[in-house]
Amino acid sequence: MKKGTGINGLVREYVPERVEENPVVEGASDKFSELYRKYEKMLNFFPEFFGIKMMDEEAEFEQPFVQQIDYPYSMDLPSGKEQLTFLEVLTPLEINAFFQGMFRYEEHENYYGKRSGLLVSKLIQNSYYAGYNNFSLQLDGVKPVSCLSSYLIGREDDPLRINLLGDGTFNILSVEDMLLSLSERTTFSGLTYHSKNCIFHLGSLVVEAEVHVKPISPVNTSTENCAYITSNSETFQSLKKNVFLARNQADEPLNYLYFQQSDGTLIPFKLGDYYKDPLNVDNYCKDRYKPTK
Amino acid sequence: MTTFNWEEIAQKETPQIFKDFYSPLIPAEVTLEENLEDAKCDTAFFDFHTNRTSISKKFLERLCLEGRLEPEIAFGGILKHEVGHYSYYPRECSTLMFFGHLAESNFKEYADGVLAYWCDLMNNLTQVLMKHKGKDVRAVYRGLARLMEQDKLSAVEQAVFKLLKIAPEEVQRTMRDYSVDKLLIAYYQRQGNEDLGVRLEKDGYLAQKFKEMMSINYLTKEDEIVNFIQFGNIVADILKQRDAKLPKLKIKVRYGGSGEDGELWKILRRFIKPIFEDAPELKDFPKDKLEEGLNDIIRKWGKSRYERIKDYVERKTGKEFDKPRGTSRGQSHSQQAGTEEGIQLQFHDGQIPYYERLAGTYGVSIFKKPLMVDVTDNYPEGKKEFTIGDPIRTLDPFSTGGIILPGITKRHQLKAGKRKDRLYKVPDAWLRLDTSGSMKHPTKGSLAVLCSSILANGYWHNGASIGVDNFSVDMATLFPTRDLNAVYSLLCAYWGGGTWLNINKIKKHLQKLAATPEDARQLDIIYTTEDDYKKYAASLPPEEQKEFMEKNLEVKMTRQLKETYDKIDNILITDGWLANPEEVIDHFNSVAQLTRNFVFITGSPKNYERWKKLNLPNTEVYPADKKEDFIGLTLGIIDSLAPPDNKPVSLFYQ
Repeated sequence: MKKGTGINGLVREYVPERVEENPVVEGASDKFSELYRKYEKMLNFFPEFFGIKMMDEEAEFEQPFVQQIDYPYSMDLPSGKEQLTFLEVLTPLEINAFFQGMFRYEEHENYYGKRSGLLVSKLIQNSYYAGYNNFSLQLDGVKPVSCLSSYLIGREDDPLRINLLGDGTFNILSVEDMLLSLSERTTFSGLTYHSKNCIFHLGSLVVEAEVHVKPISPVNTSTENCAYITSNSETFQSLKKNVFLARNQADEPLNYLYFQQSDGTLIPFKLGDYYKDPLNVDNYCKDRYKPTK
Repeated sequence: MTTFNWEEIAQKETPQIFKDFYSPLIPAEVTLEENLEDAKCDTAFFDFHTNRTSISKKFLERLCLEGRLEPEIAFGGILKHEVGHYSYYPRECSTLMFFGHLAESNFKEYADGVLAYWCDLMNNLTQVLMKHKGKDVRAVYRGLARLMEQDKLSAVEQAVFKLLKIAPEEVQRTMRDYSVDKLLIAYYQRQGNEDLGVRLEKDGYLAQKFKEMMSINYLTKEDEIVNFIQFGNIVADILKQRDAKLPKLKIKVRYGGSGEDGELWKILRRFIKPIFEDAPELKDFPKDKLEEGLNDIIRKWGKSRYERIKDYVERKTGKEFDKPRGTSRGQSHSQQAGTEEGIQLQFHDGQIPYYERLAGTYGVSIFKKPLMVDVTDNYPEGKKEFTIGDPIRTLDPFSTGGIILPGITKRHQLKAGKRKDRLYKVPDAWLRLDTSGSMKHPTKGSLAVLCSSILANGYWHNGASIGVDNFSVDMATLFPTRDLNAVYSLLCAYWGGGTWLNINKIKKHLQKLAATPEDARQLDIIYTTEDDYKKYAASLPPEEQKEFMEKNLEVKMTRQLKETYDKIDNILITDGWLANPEEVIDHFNSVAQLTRNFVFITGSPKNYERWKKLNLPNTEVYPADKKEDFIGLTLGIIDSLAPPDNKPVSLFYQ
């Protein structure tokens, strides 16, 4: 005995689903995906010199890598040599977004190493060459990255401007013609070696590590013609011990230190006759420098 | 009284809409309310507790009458948007947790706004791009655009603004010029390729932001974080501009004296909230889903990131997760313990919840092995009259010649008795965890502690007891116990000195366990120091002392001791940099006849290769360099456990 309508009935009542095309977002690009793929390769594979040569020789690679647009990142892969070039030009906002997105690699053993910082520096430099300026990097929620904003080079008539925002830690190496401002909570681990013609506006942050202006290696040059501005009394005390350590042949300091008062005016810190005797710096200071706190 | 019969429309439209979502496993029902003024939002929302959508009839009426939509379309579009929050985005509360914490660190006061708009965008975009299924959603946004266009300030609102000394026209102009909703509808209009009635002023502020939005491919999953930051920058900038134009409004809304329940706040709120305002928030999720969400997060991200996100979730929900707890066996160990001089063992009980949760997301398969165990059997002892209701299997059919006679037929009385037998069981585990200075600290997310926790969990869930030796130069020992808290406590402790595994002490502990198993299992943590070792050696007779110091102490294998060794899986978790590798390997070789050995080498692929090449009998070596190494972990399939030459061809014909 036949029950129900059978397969014919089922087919007759079946209304097929409307077929939707694969959704595609109009006008958008996937530039970040490619950039992250390259970054991942950088993290996984050392450039040729890493781990073999010393700091100066590393700098021989790092400086042109950041400053020359088509300078390649050469690696020894199991499949042979490979060179990565970073010709991407991102807007300042995109660079910050890319930097934020890098934290998905924060568990990678090489994340803290120089490669992350160098890549961000390179993107900033590319962007600056393309006419962008005023870069902001949000450090909140990002693990410390070494060499962030290092080897950057600006122009005297239009210095490269970078704002580091939020609560984070960073250091900086060998920059020229740059204005750097830090937000209140940024921890500056203070390596400003080999920098020239820069203003480091440290705001009211407390410098945990000392600012270094003297090079580690005698081959490198000292920081030169840089101004350090702070409105924090502790930072000021810390800076004054170090900023004037770099001297020219006539034993005159090569850099400048300012204390910013609450009304915004800058008080230059001059060592006068005392600078030759660092032990007396405090005595000199107590007349000129009155903490705002 | 409503113009349309919404119940009838809901009954008719709901099944097809759920079918469009491929019939998700949630009730295909909609709760229709006259208005939702007392609820989470006054338009519509998806309740993640009940998995049901609630829609305000008042809002539907507005969409139809003022937004000029067909009632079926209005209902369908809203329901699709709401169910989309369940099916498309955020779908999992872990998504909200992650992007919420990201928003908080990047967009500060605008974090909630950015997150709400992001959830709506990601939900809608998927639907808007669908030519057929997205028709209703696009229509709803066309209706919303009309509502925004017709929006006028009520007399009360005008009065309030006059009191605040804000020109009502300025408010309206600012709301129009700096409207995220308008920007998003314009974006849907472009992506859906359908006129939704939004026109952005050419070269205006919103047109510029629209260009920025168009440069982002929101559907690229791997760029989701970058996309979110870029989108957040756009939204936060608009909201910032709006607040800059209406500073008084911002101050009054945020810090109004009447508080969040006050009338003034209610009036002004509509000027700062999204038009839909239905985006899910973490507090909408029940605790079990939040726990699941945190499990997803802990698996995906590292320790510090997980802790940041957990902190964010706790602040947002007001609930506490991963509560620290003391050990249940009432140990009163302080933060430090150990030798009087030299390195101290640091306890980090605060880290237990982290490792417990993370270990709980992994499984480990442990093969059983034949163990000599006590088995309880029933045997007949004496007889009694069989009465109705007694189990028939106890009946003695021979007592009355096969006939059951009430009051005369007997039944067997059963008594329980114990006997020794070999049964397939998971043995107890003795974890020997290296916490020397070369090992990662538990507070920094140690893979060795994670590995030990996974193993402890696995054995514990199989009914086995777990013993722990936490060693560096000194050693802290916990005899096998079912008290998992005590196990975790010792696993999270850290010495931080050199690495020397005291094999003689291990042998002594096993002897103790064999001699007085019940007493040993009740013991608190035992500390063994280098001094103890020397003192013990000095106390021995000269000939034994020589044997002891030269480390060729032979253990007299009694039956009990053999059984004890047999019942224990010997597990070593180390980075491989041991000061006495020969001694350890020798020990592994000597116990291999009875015990299964497992060695986990963490953080050193070279050492893993070295240990692997040793081919120790009955010993398996595992790498433990990354979390992924613990996926699909299986312990105990070792050929040498039952070597082929000793194994009978068929157990049946033995």
